[in-house]
Amino acid sequence: MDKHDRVMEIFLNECKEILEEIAPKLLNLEDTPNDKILINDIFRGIHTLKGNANSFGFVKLGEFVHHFEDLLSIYRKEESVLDSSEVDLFIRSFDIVGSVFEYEEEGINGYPQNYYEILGEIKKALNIKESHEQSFEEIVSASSFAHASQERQIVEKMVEHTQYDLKNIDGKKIYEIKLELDSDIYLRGYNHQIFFRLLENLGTIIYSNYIINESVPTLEEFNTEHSYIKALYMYLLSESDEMDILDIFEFIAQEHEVSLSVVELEDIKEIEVQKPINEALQGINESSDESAKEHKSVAKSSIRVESAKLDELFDSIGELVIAQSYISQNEQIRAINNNELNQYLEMLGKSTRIIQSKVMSLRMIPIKDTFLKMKRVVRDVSLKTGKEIELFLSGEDTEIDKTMVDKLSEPLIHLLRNSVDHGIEESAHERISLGKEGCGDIYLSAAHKGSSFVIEIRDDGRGIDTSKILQKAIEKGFAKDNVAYTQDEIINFLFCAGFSTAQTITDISGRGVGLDAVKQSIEELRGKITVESEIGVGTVFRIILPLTLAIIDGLTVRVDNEMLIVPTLSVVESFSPIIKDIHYVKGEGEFINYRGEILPIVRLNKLLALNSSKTEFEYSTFICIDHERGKYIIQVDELLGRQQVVIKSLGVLSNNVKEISGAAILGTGQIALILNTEGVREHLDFEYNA
Amino acid sequence: MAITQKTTAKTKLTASSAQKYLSFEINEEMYAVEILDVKEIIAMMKFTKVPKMPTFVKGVINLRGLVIPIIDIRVKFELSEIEYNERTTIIIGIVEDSLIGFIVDKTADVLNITQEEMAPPPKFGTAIDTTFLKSMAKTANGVVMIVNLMKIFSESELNSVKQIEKIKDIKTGEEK
Repeated sequence: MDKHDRVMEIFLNECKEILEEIAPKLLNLEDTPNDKILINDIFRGIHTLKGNANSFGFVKLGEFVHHFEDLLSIYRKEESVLDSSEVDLFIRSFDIVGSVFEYEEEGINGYPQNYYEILGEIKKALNIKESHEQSFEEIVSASSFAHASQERQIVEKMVEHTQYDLKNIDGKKIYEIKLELDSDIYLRGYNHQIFFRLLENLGTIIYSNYIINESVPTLEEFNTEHSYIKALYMYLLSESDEMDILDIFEFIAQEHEVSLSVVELEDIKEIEVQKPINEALQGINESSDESAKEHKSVAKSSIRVESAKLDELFDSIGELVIAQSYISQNEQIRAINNNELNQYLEMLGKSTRIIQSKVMSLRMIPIKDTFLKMKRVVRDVSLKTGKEIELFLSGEDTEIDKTMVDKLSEPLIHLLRNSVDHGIEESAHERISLGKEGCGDIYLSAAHKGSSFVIEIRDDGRGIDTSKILQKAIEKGFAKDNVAYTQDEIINFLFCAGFSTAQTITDISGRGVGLDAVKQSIEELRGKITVESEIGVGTVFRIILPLTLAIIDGLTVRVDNEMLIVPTLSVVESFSPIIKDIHYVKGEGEFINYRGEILPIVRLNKLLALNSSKTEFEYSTFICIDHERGKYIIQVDELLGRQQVVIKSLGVLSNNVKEISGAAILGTGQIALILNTEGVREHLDFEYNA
Repeated sequence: MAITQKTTAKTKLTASSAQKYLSFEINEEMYAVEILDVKEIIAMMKFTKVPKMPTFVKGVINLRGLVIPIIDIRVKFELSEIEYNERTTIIIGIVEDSLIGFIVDKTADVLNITQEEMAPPPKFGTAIDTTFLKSMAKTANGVVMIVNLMKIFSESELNSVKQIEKIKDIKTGEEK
């Protein structure tokens, strides 16, 4: 990666962060359309985005964001009132920003759908607003500096004070020049003096004003290379035309915004004195608010760390824990029986555990951002379907492994769409006639339960009609006509690929690629999904995930001389077999009658080709494994215990054995392989089909 | 990991004519690998077998918290296996950014070998497949075969082994 690429990546990441930050704020704006702080936040984000886009030559993005910013800046002012259609325009504009950004990122030519349409709407909205306002407001909105109006008033005074006879400036014009400056402008050779001298050559500067927008530090901390001046206003009386004046700015115009406008004297006369002062005062209040806020965010600042570094730290901690447990359990050390030593050993144990849990927590982030995104999803779907929906969030602060958060969005979006589209009744009328409230409720909640992370999507809709599902499953060939299925089994058909019960196929859901994809992505995260439903009352989709991808809860078992870890999540129970329940079917393999079900037995030592010695069933332990294609039994020599283990990849070997999903290092330093229950099932399926 | 640092060091070193090689013995023959491809050398240790691996993959070891596969070069070279003893060494090599252990009979000195001492590997006449031989070096102690670790164990080879096994599986499945 060369330097440019790296800078580019930083920039792209920053943009993505900004976009992610703005999204929930826009939705909040819908609830409180006149929260100025919120609008200001959004405005700032968009403003930064504009700067970034222009400096990286993202023309399409820059152009769009520029107008969007203009529109937002109007509403930053106190007296403007937002209505829902305008918030809607904001949200749609923001969508375009997102997709333009993707186009730019991927280097796709052309413009995303609706680009010009929305841009047109923005421009239209801008025009309407501008014609409403007094003419001086025009400049205010165009300049995006609320202070501008204040300057105008001063110009009037200045002009009065100076000897210039305003009626006799024949042919000369007053130009308002606005120059925005970056903080590192001095490093790029800008010099206020040179600049003024050049302007003086063209005419007379009647007034200039520096806008200092950030707090200037004390003399000790003052950085002479840093420009604390955000912008510069100049009023130039000159005969030259605009081009000549703009020529002076040529060397900085590419990176900075320079605007030039001719000031009509009549405008100046009409300005009331009172209003700008009020505005100026407001500006002061606002900016002090902002700086206070910025301080807060500084305190909450975070450091980006490559996840590979965290993994290395994780490995080292694992070693530390092993060494610590070795020392504390070492008999020779215990035999010393010295109080002080014991104290220190205990201390070592305690700090080791603290470090371990802290390091673990580094990977954890709250699910909040993902949940907030879901608000948007529900809003869109409810608009599209015309169903009134309220989404309730709870447990947003529950923490989960960062890598899992990223992969949870898609399944959640899918499930929520399903809930709105299929779960909630077609109309409010229908709901009311059933004695429910007209507005459909969907609850999205997250919680820790034991060593799992549970997400629930609960709706109060019509529930799943299992008879319909079964009928459909038979039609599609997933189920057999003459078999009695349990309710759970029937609901499981929902997760079959190509299954869809929607009467009409909408673009929201119903293309039949839905729930099986959800299930698959949850399983990739080593999780499970369950469904509970009651007709007329509602449906609950429950996603159960391990807290982190790095650690699993497993049963340690011995097979021959090797240790294996069986993920607890897929274990139903373990038991000692009763020999008379075991049957051998020629050509099919061994089966056991387990609580009335006939389940296949997998001899792990044979499957994993560990040793040819055949352990008698009566001396072994059976573990029943849950799998959606049918439970099965694995035979192991001994069940040693249950523990949490850190999952390690087998690296280059990992693709070679489907029955093994990784390795774990046990407290003794020994490596135990982790059984992939899916892979074992595949093996069984293969044997049956052969 | 420190692997990236090493590669930069490597490019610097190629400029000078003599390079350092770690020599080792298999079946009383001298081999050597470029020292920059070696992370460390450890004594033979307890390992965990991994099922369904080609025979030359002995299993995995725990190297201070890292799970690393180990390969017996004797098996790979189709030589008779000997019992591991106190001289048996695992050379932890860096192959395409991952670590792999190579079991050798014993390790010997670090050699300085110049370009002039190198000769291309023979095309025929050896019982061993020569693709993993980079070159032959004539040193004071005799001929040393410079080995390319990457070639001994490349992922593509493992994958092909895997594919072969799959085909076998399917065939035996059909026979059933």
